[in-house]
Amino acid sequence: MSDCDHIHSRPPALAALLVLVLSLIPGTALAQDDDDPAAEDETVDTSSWRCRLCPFETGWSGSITAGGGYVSEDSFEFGDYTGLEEEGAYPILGGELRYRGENAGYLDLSADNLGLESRSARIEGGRQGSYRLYLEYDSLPHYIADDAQTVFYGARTGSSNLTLPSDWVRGDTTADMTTLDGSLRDVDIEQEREAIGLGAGIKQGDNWRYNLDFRRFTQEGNRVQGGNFLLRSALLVVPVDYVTEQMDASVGYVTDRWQMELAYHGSFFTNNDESVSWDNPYASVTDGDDRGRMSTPPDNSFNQLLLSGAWRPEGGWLSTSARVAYGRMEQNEDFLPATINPAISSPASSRDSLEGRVDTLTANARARAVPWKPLSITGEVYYDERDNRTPRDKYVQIMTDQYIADTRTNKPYGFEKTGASLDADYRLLRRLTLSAGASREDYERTFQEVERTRTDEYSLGLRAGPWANLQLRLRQTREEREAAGDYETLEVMPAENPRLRKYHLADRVRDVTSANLSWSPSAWASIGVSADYAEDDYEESDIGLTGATDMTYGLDVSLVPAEGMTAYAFVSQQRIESDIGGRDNVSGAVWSAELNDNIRSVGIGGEVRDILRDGLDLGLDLTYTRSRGETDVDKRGIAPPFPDLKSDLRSIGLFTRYEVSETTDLRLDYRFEQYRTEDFYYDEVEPDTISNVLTLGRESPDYDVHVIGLSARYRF
Amino acid sequence: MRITATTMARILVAVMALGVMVTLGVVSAQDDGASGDETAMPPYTRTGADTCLKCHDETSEFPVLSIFRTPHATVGDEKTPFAGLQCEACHGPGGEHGKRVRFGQERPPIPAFGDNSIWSTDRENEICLDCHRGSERMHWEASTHRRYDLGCADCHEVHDTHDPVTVTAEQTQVCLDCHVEQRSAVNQASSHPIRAGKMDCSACHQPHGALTEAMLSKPTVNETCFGCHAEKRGPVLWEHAPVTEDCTLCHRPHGSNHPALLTKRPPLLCQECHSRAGHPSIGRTGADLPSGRASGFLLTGSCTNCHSQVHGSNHPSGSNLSR
Repeated sequence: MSDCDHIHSRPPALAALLVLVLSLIPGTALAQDDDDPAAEDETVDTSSWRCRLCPFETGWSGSITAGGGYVSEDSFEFGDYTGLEEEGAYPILGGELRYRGENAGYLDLSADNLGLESRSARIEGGRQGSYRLYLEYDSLPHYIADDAQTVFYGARTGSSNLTLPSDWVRGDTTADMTTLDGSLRDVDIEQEREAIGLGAGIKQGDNWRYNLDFRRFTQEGNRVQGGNFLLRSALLVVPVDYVTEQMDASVGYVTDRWQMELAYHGSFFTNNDESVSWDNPYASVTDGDDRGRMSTPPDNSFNQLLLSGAWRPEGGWLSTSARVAYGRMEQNEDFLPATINPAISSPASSRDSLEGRVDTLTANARARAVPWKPLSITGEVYYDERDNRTPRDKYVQIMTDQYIADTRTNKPYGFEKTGASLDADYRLLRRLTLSAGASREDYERTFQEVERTRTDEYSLGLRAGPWANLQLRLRQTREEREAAGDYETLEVMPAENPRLRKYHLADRVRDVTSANLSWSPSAWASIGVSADYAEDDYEESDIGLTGATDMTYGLDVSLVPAEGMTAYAFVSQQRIESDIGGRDNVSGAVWSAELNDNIRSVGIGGEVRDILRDGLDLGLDLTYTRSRGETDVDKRGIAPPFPDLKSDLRSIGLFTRYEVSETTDLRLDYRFEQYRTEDFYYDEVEPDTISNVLTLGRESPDYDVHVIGLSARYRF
Repeated sequence: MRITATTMARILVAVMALGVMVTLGVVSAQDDGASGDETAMPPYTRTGADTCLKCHDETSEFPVLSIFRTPHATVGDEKTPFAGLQCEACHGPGGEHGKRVRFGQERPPIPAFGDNSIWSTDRENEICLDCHRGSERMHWEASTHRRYDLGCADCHEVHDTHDPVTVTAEQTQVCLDCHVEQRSAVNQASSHPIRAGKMDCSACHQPHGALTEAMLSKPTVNETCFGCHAEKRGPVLWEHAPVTEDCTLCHRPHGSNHPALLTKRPPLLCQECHSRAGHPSIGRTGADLPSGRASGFLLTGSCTNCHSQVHGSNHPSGSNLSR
């Protein structure tokens, strides 16, 4: 889409612009006569409204929470994101500090989990209604595996240069690597993401809004990545050392009838590792294939301007809003050499870097009209373009640092998506609304098997309240996607099966049924029931995804049986089925696969305040999530079955809080989690189990972890 | 007997059809054609908040004093309700509600934001929007939540010093009360740090209305994901088109039974789109498990054992996504 002018095919973009312009026209007039909230107040005699009983907050207040806890077992899986990954004691430390001044000045300081890797803190101050400043910090630990083993030096120190021990014996297969067992070293797979943000917001007068936000994310640690030489691979532990800086700035003008906002979004990604190199643990196949080198995500940037607006004329019969966003992604990292194999002279390249550039244009406009009271109509148009202006060039392929293969030309991917929808809601009776909708989307893509797909969707719905305490919502949708023109299999070597239909390009019929019911049989009880079912039929596909269903249903109950007492219970079940067809080597054995994921979640809990005595609160939460993944592959009728993928998570949470005095309370927390998993992709796969993949020997996680914590909170 | 998804779907449709018929019948019978006397404007109280607080102190059934530790009751900000009509700025004129009632007489409801309030959700929302119309609420008017008659007070507890829906660790529970499918997802084996309370729904979604599908805050799905995963943004030399197009073609952002939020595991995930002669097209079976031939085309990372640059490669020799 880089080679032509698309202005003629951008009606939604123009519509969005039109709405934005329209919002300006009445604005000049309406800006003078905005509804003044005070105008209504003038009719009310408030001369006797003293607010003598109003306990307005001024001065300093806050709380400090301190204590300690104990974790019963090491478990990365349990500690993922929470920071409770190690057995032993941990501190509980947090608090908040507030200041409220007479002149609306304020200061808020809060901190949580200060003793853990999941710590966070924020300070915000300013004058309410005028300006605000904030500074915030957040740390997020991501623990991936604590049972991995690697033979590569450098993996544990975060090096991008991974080397084998000096006595390493290279082999044709992992079984031939005779020094493997003695060379394995434990390595933890983990990352820590830290975010620092600061910003300011200003309100000027009744209408102007200014905001400026800056955030800097650092992500450090490691991850697992395969590194191969032809069909022989080693799972490597490669470093992660990313920095992302983001800036958002906006200026807005807000009135009661219309508003506009002009915003800038900038995002700048830096990777401190430009590549990963590693020793080939396998016996040499070609001269010089002792080491490999792969690229890492390159530095890139994204700059975007966004113009948004909304307008609603007097009377409430129409409301419109729109947004146009124009952005540019750029990437120009220096290319790595085509190979580091000294026996292969690196081919001459016409360029040293990609000069990658993608221009994005997104435009949306939506309007809701109420031509007469029972009827409301919502219309929407949108346009989304990825105009990939990255230059095309030829690149000689040195396959896995071992041999010269063919020359390939890059295919910068772009697309253009245009759509519109219309939905109508008709209030047939006071408690009955019927809905109908239709939408169309055209999707054009570059360098794909299908140049354009068209998706039409139709829906019917009903919202009803046969009784005041019962609400029912039903909706049925049919979506039909068809390719415009033939599905033309791309010419590649080896050849692609011509009967394959990629599922996001294939013809598809999708039916979606959803039903929701909420019932409040009394003031202290509410019940919600929901069921959603989606069925995809890829009627023209027999290789690739041929069908899928997704069914979810759930039951929620919330109770307030007595003052100071709440209780809840829920059950949800999801079943996802997929059918995939295939054929070995295009014309060989036909096979079919059926995947079923079943996930069931059950929970019950509640909280009681002032139980047994004043100031004593008690809470309990029990949850159980059971997941089963079935994989059935039928091939010649003789294939051994796969075991199920299993995970069972049982969790008990219990707390009690006792108010010792008006300023102090004690809290005791207990949590137990039991996690059981079976995953045939990893279980029983030792580093040398697979002849051509040197793995990390990870197992699927199991744990039983008890956590107990005692803390005191002092309020002032 | 095992109930298949198709059978369940038929049951669901049958129940829906029955529900529609019953509902239409009941609604028709119940409907009195009245629309409620929303236009009636009762008088204001004589002494404003002092009238209200005589009853609504900390010992009442509906204690309200925590409002004085929120921005709505900040001394010195002329825009707050307590600089104007105090409680009645939001709840509407309380003269009828606050007057003396005879023994046995039912107390008239407060017009807005109370039990049996007479004002409609739309009218209640207008009260909030009078002050909170700007910026992130710009697209509220034609939003999905508004279309389904959601009220501000359905999610917000403005009397609470720490409104749960504005607290990262607590917001998700508010959203999941209605979004049952997502409740199932966030409890699955692979999920974003939602259960740990380190990420909330509004990290990606704009519940006050957005022009992007699924009420996403950013203009597109992928721009939303790149907010935290900028390393996958590119552009790179060798792009993997579905990755570049839409992250959700392979990932379930709310949670999955498979690692890395994948919709399913490789190799079958990859074989939905790749069936080239040679190893990509081979149907893997139980014979490829460790008890059999222990195939690297199936186990651990499967296809990604070698094609590890599935999000695209910037290596000149990386066209097959292995460098």
